Amino acid sequence: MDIGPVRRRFTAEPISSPVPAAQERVPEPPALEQPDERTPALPTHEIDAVARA
Amino acid sequence: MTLPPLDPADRDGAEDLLALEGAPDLPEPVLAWRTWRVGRRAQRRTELIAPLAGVLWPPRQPMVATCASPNHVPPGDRCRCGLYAAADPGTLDWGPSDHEVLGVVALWGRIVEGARGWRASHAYPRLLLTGPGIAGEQRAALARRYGVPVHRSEVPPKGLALLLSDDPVHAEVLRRSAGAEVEALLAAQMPDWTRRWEARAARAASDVARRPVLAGFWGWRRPAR
Repeated sequence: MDIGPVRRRFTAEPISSPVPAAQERVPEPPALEQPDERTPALPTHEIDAVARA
Repeated sequence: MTLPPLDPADRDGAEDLLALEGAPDLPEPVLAWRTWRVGRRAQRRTELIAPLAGVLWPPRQPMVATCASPNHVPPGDRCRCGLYAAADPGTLDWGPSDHEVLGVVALWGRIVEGARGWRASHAYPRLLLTGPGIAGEQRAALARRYGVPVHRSEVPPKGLALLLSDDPVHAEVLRRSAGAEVEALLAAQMPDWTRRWEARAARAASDVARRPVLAGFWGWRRPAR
């Protein structure tokens, strides 16, 4: 993509890191905890691969 | 906060080395739109990949820009290096893959602002919006690995980006919010967005159906006398 003509340059240093800590769990939306009816479930061996990743 | 405009006379790459000295201009990241590709093969289904560069965005670590030039630290003012993001999701580039996702990214460090977006030295995804082609298990695994919310959209991400471009109020809420607020907005708006997307798709299909007729018309040549 092209961001267009350069307007300015600045620095940003967030007070709290935008990177979640290793142990930090994301609050998963309810949809993630329910079986997905519209998309086919992964084959078992692929689910295992995802879980290992 | 009013930031000083970039002085065109001060755009030599070496000047970039001085950019982070002193106090930062902003105490918070810039939040903007970008795309990633999700791995298709089983071993790469929980990986976010930069669509053009094909580079992996590491989970739970900042993505740091690199540049082959020894003359500046990314992002250079006159270079194309840096981690890209757009102010308007409708201006994002999309590849042919149906495994591309839309998301909001946090940018920080050195940042070059353009008329339509930003290039930054550091970035990390803030939330992801995946299309119906990505299964729930894969979304959950992505969320766990990267530690960010991964939401489902009934509209393909490219279509959602176009709809959000036409709906800046809701786009702004999505860009700045997180967690339950995003989920509530998606739940409330998705029926309307889906209907509008299906109408767009129907119009596009209708246009395609008419195209051979137009092509035939424009291909017609008056016989030479």
